Parts: sequence; C-alpha cells; structure tokens
Amino acid sequence: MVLKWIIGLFKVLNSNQNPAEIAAALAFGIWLALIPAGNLMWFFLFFLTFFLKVHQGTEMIVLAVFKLIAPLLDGVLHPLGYLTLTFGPLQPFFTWMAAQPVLPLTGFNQTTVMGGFVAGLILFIPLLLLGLFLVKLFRDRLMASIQNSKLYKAFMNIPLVKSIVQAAGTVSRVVPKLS
Amino acid sequence: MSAKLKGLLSKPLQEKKYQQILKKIYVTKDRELFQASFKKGENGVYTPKADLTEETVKSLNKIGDAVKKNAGFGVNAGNLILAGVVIGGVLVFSVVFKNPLFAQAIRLGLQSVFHAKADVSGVSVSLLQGRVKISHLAVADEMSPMKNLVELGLVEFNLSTDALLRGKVVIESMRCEEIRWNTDRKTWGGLSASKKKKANSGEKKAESQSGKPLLALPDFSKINAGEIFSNAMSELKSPAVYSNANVTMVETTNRWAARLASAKKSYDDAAKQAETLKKINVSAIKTLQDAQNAYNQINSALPAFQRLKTEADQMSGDFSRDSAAAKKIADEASAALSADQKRLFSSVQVPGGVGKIAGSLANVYLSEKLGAFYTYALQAKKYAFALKGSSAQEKKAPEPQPVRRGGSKVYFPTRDYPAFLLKLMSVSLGEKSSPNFTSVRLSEVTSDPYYTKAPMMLAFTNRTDGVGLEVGAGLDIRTNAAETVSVDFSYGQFSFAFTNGLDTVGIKKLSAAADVATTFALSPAGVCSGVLKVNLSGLALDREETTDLVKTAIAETLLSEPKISLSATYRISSNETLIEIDSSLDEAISRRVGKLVNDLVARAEKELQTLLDRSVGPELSKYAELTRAYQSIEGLVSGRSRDAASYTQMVDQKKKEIENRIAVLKKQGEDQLRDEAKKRLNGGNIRVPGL
Repeated sequence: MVLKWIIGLFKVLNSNQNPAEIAAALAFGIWLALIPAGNLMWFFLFFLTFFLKVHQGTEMIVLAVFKLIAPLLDGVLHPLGYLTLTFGPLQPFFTWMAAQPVLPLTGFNQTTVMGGFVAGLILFIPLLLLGLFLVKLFRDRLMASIQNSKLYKAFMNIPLVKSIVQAAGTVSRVVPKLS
Repeated sequence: MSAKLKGLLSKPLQEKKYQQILKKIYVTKDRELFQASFKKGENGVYTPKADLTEETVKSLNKIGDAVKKNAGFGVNAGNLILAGVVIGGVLVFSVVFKNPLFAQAIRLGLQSVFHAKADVSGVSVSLLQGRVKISHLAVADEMSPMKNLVELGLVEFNLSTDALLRGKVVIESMRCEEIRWNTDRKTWGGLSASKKKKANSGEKKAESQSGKPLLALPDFSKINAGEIFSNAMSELKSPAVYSNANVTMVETTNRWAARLASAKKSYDDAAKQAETLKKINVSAIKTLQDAQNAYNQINSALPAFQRLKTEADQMSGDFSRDSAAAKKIADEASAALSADQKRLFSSVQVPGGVGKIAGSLANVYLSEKLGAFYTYALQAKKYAFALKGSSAQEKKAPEPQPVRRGGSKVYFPTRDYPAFLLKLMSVSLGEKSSPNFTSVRLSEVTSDPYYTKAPMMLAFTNRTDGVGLEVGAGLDIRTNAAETVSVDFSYGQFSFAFTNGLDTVGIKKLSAAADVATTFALSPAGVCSGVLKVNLSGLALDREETTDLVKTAIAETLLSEPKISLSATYRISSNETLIEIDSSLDEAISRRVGKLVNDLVARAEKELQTLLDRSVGPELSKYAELTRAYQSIEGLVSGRSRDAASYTQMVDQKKKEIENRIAVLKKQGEDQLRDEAKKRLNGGNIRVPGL
C-alpha cells in the first residue's frame, strides 16, 4: 500500500499535474494531520478537500506520514490552542460557537484541536509556496537525474514494483524505458 | 501517421489558446515536445506538423488530457456534484424512511435502558416541527418476560429541535392517551435465550421458597404431664444429686457422732472437776495455808481445762468447715431441683412468638411484598443508570490546564443539553375530582441528572370508585444524593388473600381489605428502609377443623377484631430482610390466647410438680431428716465449746480470787506482826526507826 502511494506520488510529480494541486495537497495533508481526528472540524476539512482541486493521493500520503509524528507536537499544539481559546477578544465568539447547534461537535474547545487548526492555518500559505517550489525543483532539476540513477532503475526493476506500475497504467511517461 | 491528435489539440490553435495550453504544461520536456510539434502559420494559427510520429502523437494526446484536467478555478466540480447527489440521496432516504428509522432508534434506546424487548409501532415523525407520534409502545419486563412493564396507547411528544441539532434528545412534553402496566405479552420479552432460562429458574426458586411454615405453636389441648415427665426423666438430675447429698450427710453425721462420743469422758471429767472447784468458798478461807492449798488445787486442774478448750475450739472449727461443705451440697441439690422443675415447665411454656402472632403472620406476607418493593427500587435505579450511561458526570468548573500531551477542554458558559431529557410526561384519564381517575406524571427523566439538578419524579394515581393506588417517587442517581430512590406509596381498600404459614394457626386462607401506606428510601449503598402502615378490615377466614384451643382462640380473636392496624419498620438489603412489626392484634391475641395458655400451662406445671415431688420425694425426706440430725450435732458441738470456755473462765476467775485472798491474808499477817512488835517495843522503851 505504502509502495503504491510512493509510486503514485512519483507519477504525479512526473506528470503534468498542476503543481498548485500538489502543493495544496501537501498543505491540507499537514493541516489534517495536525488536527486530532474524530471531530466535525477534521471531517469538514477532510471533505472540503474533495471539492477543491487538491491532489487526493498526495494528500493521503502526506496525511498518513504526518499523522505519525503529529502526536509529538502536542506539546506545542496544546499551548497554542489554549492561548487561542483563552484569548480575550475571541471569547465572545467562542462562547457563541459553543451555544450553537452542531458547532460544538467540531471539538473547537479542545486545545489540541484548536492548536492544530491554528497551526495548520498559519502554515497553510508557507506550505503551499514550499510545495510549489519543491514540485518545480523536482521537475526541473531532480526528475531527470533520479530517473537516470542506478538506485531508481534497480527499484523499478523489482517485480512487485513493476506489477504495481503496470497496474497503475504508468507505462510510458513515468518509466519510458520499461515500456 | 496512423494515430490522430484528439480533443484539445485536434483543431488548429489560435495564438491565445496556444499560449494558454503552453502555460498549463508543467514538465519541461513535454513543453518542448509540444512546441516542437506545432508550427505557426502565416495567419498566426498553430497547426500540428505533418511528420509527427505515432509515439509523439500519443504523447501529445496525453499532454492534451493533462492540460484539460488542469483547467478550472480550484473547485472540483465533479466531486461537488457527486457529494450533492449523495447528500440529496441521504436526505431523501431519511425523509422516506424516517419513520421506520425513528421506530428502530426508539426501540433500541428503550431496549438498552430496560434490558428487555420493546415493541414500537405506528411511528410518525415531523422533523421540522419536532413532533413524534407513536400509536403503540410496549416495553417487556426483564424479570417477567411474558409480561409488559408498561404499555402505552397513542403517544405524542414534542422534541426540542435545538437540542436535536446538537445530537441530544430533549422531550419538551409528552402526551399519552392510554397507559397500562403488567399486561400480558404474546411473545417472549427477554433479549436472549440465556436470560429466559435464568428467569425461569428464578421463578421456580421463588415458588419453592413460598409456603414454608414460619410459626410453630404447640398443641396446648394435648398437654400430657405424665408423658412429658417420663420423656424428661432421663434428663432430671435432682434425684441423683439428693441421693449423693444424703450419702455425704450420713457420713458427716456419723463422723461427728463418733467424735463427740470419744470426747464425752473428757467433758464429763472436766465438768466434775469444775463442779469441785466451783465449790471452793474463797471468802471463807482464813489462813494462808488454806489459801495456798486451794490455789495449788486450781493450778493443778487448769492445764486440763485449757486443753479441753483447745480441743473444743478445734472441734468447732472443723464443724464449721463441714457445715460449709454441707451447705454447698444443700445449695447444689436445691439448684438441681430448680433446674429440673424449670426443664419440665419449659416443655409447656408459651413460645415468645405467641404474643406476636399477628406480626409473624404478617411477616410472611410482607417479606414477599416489601421484597418486591426493594426489587422495583433496584430496577428503577438500574434503569436510571442505564439511561445515564457513562456520559453524565459531575460538572466541574473549568480550570486552567497544565501543558500536557493530548490537550484538554476549555469550557465556555453555555447551555449543554443532556443526551436525553424528558421534561414532562403527563397522562390523565378521567376528571381529577371524579371517583374513577388515572394519572401518570413523569418529569425530569434524563441521562444527566446534573443538568436538571433534581431527582427524576414519578407521580401515579389510579383510583376506582374513590379508592386505589397513589405513588410518588423520586429517583436521584447523582453521586452525592442522600437517597437514590424515595417513594411515598398508598393503596386504599386493597383486597388481598394469602395462605402461606397460616396452617400453623389453623387457618387455610385469610382475606381482607387493606389500607396500605408506606414511605421508603433506597440508599446509594442499596439498603432500603421505611415504615409501612396497614389497616385491615373485613377480615374473612377459611378455617381448618381443629380441637386445638389455642388455634381456635387465635382464629376467633382475628374474627372478633373489627379493624386491625399494623405498623412495620423494615430494612432490606441484598443479603438480609429485617422487619419489625407491631400490631393491635398482638395485644388482643396476647390477652385472649395468653389467658387460655397460661391456665393450661399452670395446670400442666402443677401436675409436673407433683410428679417431680414424687420422684425426688424419698431422697428429699431423707435429706431433711439427716439435716435435722446434723443440726442436733451442731448443738452438741457448740454446747461443748461453750462449756469448755465457761470452765476455763470459771477456773481463771477462781484463781484470781484466791490470789487476791492470799494478798489480803498476807497484809493482815503483816499488820498483826507490826502491832505486836509496837506493843513490845513501847514496853521496853525501845524505839525502832520507822515504827
């Protein structure tokens, strides 16, 4: 599964997929990873990405990877969320939210949820720009050298990888030499 | 070139379109391929080159597809439409199937609370108005799965839509047209087969426990003193004790008789000697010589008297010891006789329970009924806890939390609905002032008692012809509640009949009408305590044929009392049932049965006493005779002791008198000598100094 995701990511990077979609997938993936799941806020954000031009595969890979390390950031997310939730000028707004139907189900009053949300929001634009930069860097500079590297060739010659690649229909563009 | 360019690239491209496509090709190699594959005509239009290879055409088509996919303004219209369709489908499904869905939700909810099957039918839901109608609802009784705990007719309730949007069920008001309890079911109401077995075994156990006799009254009309005495004969100890006492008394008496006989000569000699000494007339002694002789006579007799006194003291001490031992034996014998008498009389004693017959009989019935109250209270508690689940907890004021992994909640002042709340359910059939009236009122039934800050309340009235049942109950499952369940219960003119335990008083069946009132509370520890007051009237008995006077008297007393009042203080826990009952009937029974029984017992006791006297009599008479003999010995011993003392005293006295007489005679002799010497000296004119 992980292998499939990695190959899928390479496919996207090597294709003409809009870099903004990949960069947005990176930003949303990290944002979703930072917010603890199991509340309406997480689901809302998650389903929002389905209606936006965000590359879902990339988002899933980023989400899966960063979800593993997100708990380590609780020490930062908790105080950030606590500061936000106890920030005086926002108190009326949060009180209003708490009094509304449905909105409390977002778990906004949970410090790590709010911390993750705020951190993701702050990081969104920088991550978007970083994503754009990285995709461009990869496509312009790294793609050719990676494709020509012995390690890459050896990896792509693994039977399992071959079968996955063929099943994914990535024949000519990703591994032109194999086709 | 067999392959053809498709889609976006199949037509000649204007300059603007060409640049747009070029902008959306992000891979440099592809961009170069695209640029190399098209040429610009004189009219400024880009057309594909003629010598494109098949592979190049395929690559261009893929580039064209990718460019097409990259078009748009950041919104994935396809997914948006798909989501719209899905949501629309769910909404349509919910609207179309909302009634069965609600019915299932209500069914499952009730089943999880009552642990028994719930039947719900005719559910009609109006989501916008927050109104739900149920044409029939029945919840089975977990303890009796072939019975319904409650069955409701048409039920209508208004839900708070505000709370519903927060995922909470808050019933603002509930109306019900018909309510019935303990109705029969056609199908098994348990949730599983294993519970069915358990319930059956519980019923059998209850059956096996009923009908046991609780009060054992002796048949006083058949008291046979002779039989009682012969049965108790082997256990009577007094005959043997008196026999042993007599043996000891004989031995002691003989021993003392011998001792007195052996000492008789000494006493007789002493008496003679004392008589001789007593005759000495001290005042008649005129000479020192006579005085000295009398003195010597006394001195020589004195040691014998002193010896006699010592022996008499010794004998007196020994006798005192033997007398103490004899007294002990006498006490033991007397105690044995008393014990035997008590043992015999105990066979005909009235058991302590006779005076409490009404209480004992009521205990049988009340243990069952109060046990049912306890079970209901526990069941109510269980339902409340099932409703509460694990969600409701004591609300604490929000406090600043320390930094830690996992985060914490920050609370904002707001209205937080409980998962379930029934604010008020009210059912009433008939006019409140009319003799036939039924009313049920439930309020503050909630999954979170900390929200309502009040106990769940139930008020129930069921009156027929002016009499019936009234219940007021409070159920508080908050951790700091003093009482988990508190109930005021009254039932007017409740007709009942019971048979258990009555055979012991010669009654097959007792029926009556009762006014029952009780107030009880179930503590958080599960102990139920309360006071029950019952007034019985219209008592009717189905009596056994009996010759037993006591049973007859009890039955007649029961029938003669126009009204019987009974007060029971009870305390029931999982492992014990304590009921203390006071009844006006107890006094009447004590009076009537007590007199009868006392007469019978007195007669039996008299007979037994005669038999006992006859059995112990010979030994007892012998003992009395021996005691008299012993007492005569006691007189002799004490007489001897007194004599010895008086002899010694008399001799001592006599000795002192003689000593005084000698002193007087000496003085007289001296005076005579002095006078004689004076005379002689005066004649010879001799002066002697000092004369």
